[in-house]
Amino acid sequence: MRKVRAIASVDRLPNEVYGPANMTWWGALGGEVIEGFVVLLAVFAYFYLRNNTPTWPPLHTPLPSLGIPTLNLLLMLVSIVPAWLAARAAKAEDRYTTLVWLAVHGAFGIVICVIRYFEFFALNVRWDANAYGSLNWAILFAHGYTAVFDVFDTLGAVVLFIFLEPERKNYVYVTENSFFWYFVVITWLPLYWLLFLSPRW
Amino acid sequence: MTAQPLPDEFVPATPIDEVLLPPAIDEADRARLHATWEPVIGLVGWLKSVNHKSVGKRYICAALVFFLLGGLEAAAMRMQLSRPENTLIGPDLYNQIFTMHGTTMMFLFAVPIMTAIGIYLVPLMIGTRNVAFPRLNALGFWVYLLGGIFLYSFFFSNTGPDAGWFAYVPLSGPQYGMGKRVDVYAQMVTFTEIAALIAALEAVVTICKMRAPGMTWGRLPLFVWSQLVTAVMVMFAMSSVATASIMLGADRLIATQFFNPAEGGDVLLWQHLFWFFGHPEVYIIFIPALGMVSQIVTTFTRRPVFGYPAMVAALIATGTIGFGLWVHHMFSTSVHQLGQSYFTAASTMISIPTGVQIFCWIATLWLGRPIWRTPLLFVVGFIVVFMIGGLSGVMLASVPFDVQATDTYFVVGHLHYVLVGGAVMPLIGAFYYWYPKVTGRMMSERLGLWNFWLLFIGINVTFFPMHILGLRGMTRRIYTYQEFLGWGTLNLIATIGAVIIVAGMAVFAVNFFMSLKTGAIAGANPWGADTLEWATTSPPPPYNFVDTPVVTSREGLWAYGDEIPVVTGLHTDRPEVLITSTMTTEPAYRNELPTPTIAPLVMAIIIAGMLAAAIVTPWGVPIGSTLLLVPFYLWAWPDKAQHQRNLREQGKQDRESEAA
Repeated sequence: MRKVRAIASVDRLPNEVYGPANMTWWGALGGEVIEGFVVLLAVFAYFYLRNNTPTWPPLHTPLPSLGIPTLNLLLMLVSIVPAWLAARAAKAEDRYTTLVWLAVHGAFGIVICVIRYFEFFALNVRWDANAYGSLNWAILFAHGYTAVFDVFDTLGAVVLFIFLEPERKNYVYVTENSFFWYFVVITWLPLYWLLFLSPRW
Repeated sequence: MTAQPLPDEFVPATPIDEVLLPPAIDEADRARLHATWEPVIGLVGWLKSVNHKSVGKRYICAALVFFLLGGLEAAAMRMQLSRPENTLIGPDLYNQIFTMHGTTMMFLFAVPIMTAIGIYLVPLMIGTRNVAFPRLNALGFWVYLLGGIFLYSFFFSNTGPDAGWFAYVPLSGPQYGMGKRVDVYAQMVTFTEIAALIAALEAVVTICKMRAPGMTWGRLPLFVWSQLVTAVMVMFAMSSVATASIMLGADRLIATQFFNPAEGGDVLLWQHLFWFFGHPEVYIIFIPALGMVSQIVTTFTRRPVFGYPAMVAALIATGTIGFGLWVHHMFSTSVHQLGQSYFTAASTMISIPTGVQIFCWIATLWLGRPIWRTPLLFVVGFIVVFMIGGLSGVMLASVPFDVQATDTYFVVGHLHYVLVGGAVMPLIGAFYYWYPKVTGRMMSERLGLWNFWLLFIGINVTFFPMHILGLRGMTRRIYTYQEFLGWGTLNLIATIGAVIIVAGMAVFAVNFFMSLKTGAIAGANPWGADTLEWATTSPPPPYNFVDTPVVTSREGLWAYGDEIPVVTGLHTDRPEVLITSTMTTEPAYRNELPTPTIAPLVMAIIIAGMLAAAIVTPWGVPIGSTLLLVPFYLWAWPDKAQHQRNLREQGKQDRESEAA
């Protein structure tokens, strides 16, 4: 009968770590890959159908407005700062600073999502008018759905940080929440160009 | 090559009472581990379970039930086609049945069962105690199950999808797809893709972060490699069909114009998005089967598989090239000539990595001393049947031939040779191989032989005539044909073959259920195999391993000397797993997994309600999403006692590290 021999003990290892060493980071990355690919396919569909249409936007379809979408783009870019500061404070495991920046991040998120609602009207086309309208609404909705998800995630973390003394797992959660928000903002850059600028050329 | 005769009675390769990794802890500790990993019993406990083995087993059972349903549909079609102008099934029901057959087999059986076996085996094979996100895992299962129930409830109320399993627009669009039948199809696709994406994410993170120390990429069992490659493929392929099915649902429900040419849409966009998923789907089904074959060949030849690096490269190459051939499903549409040449080349090219693997298996068999037990028979059956399917696939890769054969029974014959040969044969072999691990008992070899030969003969008798029927002009999806067309005899032969398949599967079912009670006790490692799942008892305890085994070689258990190195120190009072680094598998941290909860089931029910409601009103989506927040927050909110304990321990740990 063979015997087992303990060559090491892991009881002194930490029970949480930050960044790519943590498996939830990989989970978030996987989520981003899936989401990102869905968006990429929508972009593929956009160009595929655009190729079919002699004018883009199609005849009698006005160009999208730029004001509100550009305002939201700027807000999104600025919102990276509180997200980043929240992640930094979380890594330092500073409860109150984390809470403050999480709240700011959450507030930005709410405003961005509210403005997203008005962005649909800035498209100046209904979803059922033509394929161009359908694509615009679909891409805006898909990205918006991800953003709303992250905002609820952030707000949950805010509540948790108010009512509970956070453990390390919760701090890690905050860093990954920010990581996901960067993804939300970064994917919006090419989409903003696609939806609001590219029809102008 | 010397073949050993089959023993009359089962003789386990290792003594029944020998467990390679015996629990080196006392009874009290073991009882505590048990209580930690399987804390709740009874119906509620069953519904709450997040253990990968429980989830895996019910996933497998559910997939087998859907396999049975899909099989019955196939049998019904064969009965209808057995003679000309048969009136057993009318055209409308026939449309539903062939759509249900394809949909069930692809979305509810083939992909899920491969996933399910991975959910059960991967943690055991990589030496850990559960999957990375156990609650998410349970959610995936419930969503899948509810998706299947959803589809069949509609089918039984005469609202089964009827536009074929790939539901081409405009037939499936708002203009021609009347009623709610196609909406049921589109939503069912959404259910299964949610489940598949969850399982894929789970597999990737589990394999990347939870491998036992020492199990570097070069030592990973080929089945686990196959699961990893498949999971990555699922992440891309399922995203594509998700996009497509949501677009289709939206075109039908809220009048978007994605596929409406009159308003700038395009029907071929559906085909592109669908086949960008649909073709890789074949490999998503087939690659795990390749992994199963590699494990079986290794075990029954008693030697490491020949050309391990080539095998891994072939899996990855298959997974990659698999995304570059979707347009060969569309050769009869207006594909540009350059595109045709490219996709012909790619379609032919994919046979290279598969060929590499087949040669490696033959070399392994040649160099080893094969023991001809049932699982190995199925491997040989797989090689023969799959090669025939592969060869007709190369024929179809050629555009002039494909254009002639498109939508004929030649394609039906080809795809069944590939899928039944490439996936069902290895799958049944895998059942015989891993059954002892899951149940603790052996399946009967005698019935196994009957099972194999009936199935092997049945498959060929059913599907081979279909090639000839196709070449004689019989198109697919017709519910009957006239006598003068001369297709009657071959169709009758195919139906006889189907009866033989049914007999073969009945033998399998009998063997499966009978062996639960009467099978020989298997012991931990009845086949003398080399991978880690055989190091623990059969069936494995809820925590899989007491201590984490340290892997010293690609040969796994075969490489261990008298002493087996392990890593100790995981807590027994909480469900803790060891997380290791992705490349070097050095222990990184201890991670406490979440406890069982009803939240995944509640969430799945809400998702099901949301998708079902979205068939009739778009408001289903926002309302359902809002409702989802409740279980989501309950799921994420920390358990009070656990939270306090972690705070205490972290404080202590920090103080100690500061002092150090």
